[in-house]
Amino acid sequence: MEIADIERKLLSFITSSFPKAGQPIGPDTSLEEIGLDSLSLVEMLVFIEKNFNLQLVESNISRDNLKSIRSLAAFIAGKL
Amino acid sequence: MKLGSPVDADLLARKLSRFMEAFPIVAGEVARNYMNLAPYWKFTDTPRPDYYTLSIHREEEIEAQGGAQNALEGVGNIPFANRNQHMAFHLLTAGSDDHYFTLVADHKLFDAKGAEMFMDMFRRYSVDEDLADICGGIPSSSPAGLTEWMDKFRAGQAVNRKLLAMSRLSSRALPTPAQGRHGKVRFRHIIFDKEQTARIYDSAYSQAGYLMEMPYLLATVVQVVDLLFPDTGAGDSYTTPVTTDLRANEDPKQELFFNHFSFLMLQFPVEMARSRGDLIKSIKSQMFEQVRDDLPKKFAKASMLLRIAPFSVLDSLPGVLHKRPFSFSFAYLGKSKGKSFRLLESEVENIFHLPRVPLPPGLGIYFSQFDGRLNATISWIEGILHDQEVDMAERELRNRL
Repeated sequence: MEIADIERKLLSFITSSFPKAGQPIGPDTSLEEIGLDSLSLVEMLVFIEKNFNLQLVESNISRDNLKSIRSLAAFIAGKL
Repeated sequence: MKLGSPVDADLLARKLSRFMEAFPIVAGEVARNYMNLAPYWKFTDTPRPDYYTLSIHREEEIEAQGGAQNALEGVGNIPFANRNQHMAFHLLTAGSDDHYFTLVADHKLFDAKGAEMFMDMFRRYSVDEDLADICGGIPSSSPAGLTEWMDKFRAGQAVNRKLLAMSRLSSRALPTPAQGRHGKVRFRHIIFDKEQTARIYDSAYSQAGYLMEMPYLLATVVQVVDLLFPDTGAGDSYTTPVTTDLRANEDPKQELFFNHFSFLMLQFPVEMARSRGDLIKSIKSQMFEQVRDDLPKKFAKASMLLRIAPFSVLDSLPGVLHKRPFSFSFAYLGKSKGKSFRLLESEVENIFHLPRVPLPPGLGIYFSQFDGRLNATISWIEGILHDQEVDMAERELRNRL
């Protein structure tokens, strides 16, 4: 799967699950800025498992990997 | 909220009176009738004059009670005067640099985040922001969601199955005090300064992962609670309801009133308390499994009827768990989303919560964060713990976090 496809899927999930009032969300939006916490991060990991068949809850996913949708998509692409 | 300087009590009362007039919903009450078997929130045309109260507590009164901590505990235990009253404000002046403005909120009307947001809106109004700007976009009520009963029934079945599976391991709990579980609620408020908070969040990142503060704090709390329970205490596990916020919208004003939270139900074998690493791994794994099974949303759906009285859910759950109680309750509210740091002419130094612990289990440990400082509150029903045990719990929390 292309990184652009992964980005598109992640963006669609994040936009619908964590709407940010009055601010558009793009591939470079910081996930921290969106207001993710441990529960919403786990919701995203469940989405990743269901859509990309990747178990990341015990992986060493770092702050840099979760910096933005673009960096997360690159991390996922590297694991596929 | 802790204030940096005293505020004019008369001006505060006038501002509060005008502000409250904008929210007729707060003068309502839970009602049932033959047309609506399910409970609903009933607005009233003629609010009683005491639908909210503001009490001023002067220095002499607070000294007589033994200081600010005792006085805050005291106001948190004052029952509401009638079924229409859901909010009681208190202004406390405990010394030259000890000032508090508190809201005792009925959980039928507000959850913790809703109450925090309401106070933030009042702070903005108190410094002369326009009421129309502050209140813009607040829906006057939200749909009760009392439809699709089969869907709710199936959600209830899924929750029951999970709770029954958890009941295979018996749960440790502190012994019920002589006066029962309906006694006074005691509070211990613990503040971590900015430097300590930054260090705690760094440890959470290195030990639990990015954004995984809640699992790190809960794992530490399990280790501290383990020290409070006698070695010979019965029970194979620590079982804890963890409050989770189900608000979908980043703007909490959209979901200001009533309750928007649910629970994760987590369980740890007693032996696991020896290793924080194992606890963190187990918390993350249980969170993942329960979110994947949609349990928090199913829990909220199944308890929709109790949306305006959610704590009774916790009262009824031990029945499902074959009379086995929970060990303690836990919540991490995260960073305060407030926009205003002033009340009238005073700076706001801190905002924290003193939650009345749900019954049972009668013991709860809760965290929130304001302006880069972590606040922890231990709540317990009087008689469950001695003061020396709470001192030890505070010491251990500080040492271990």
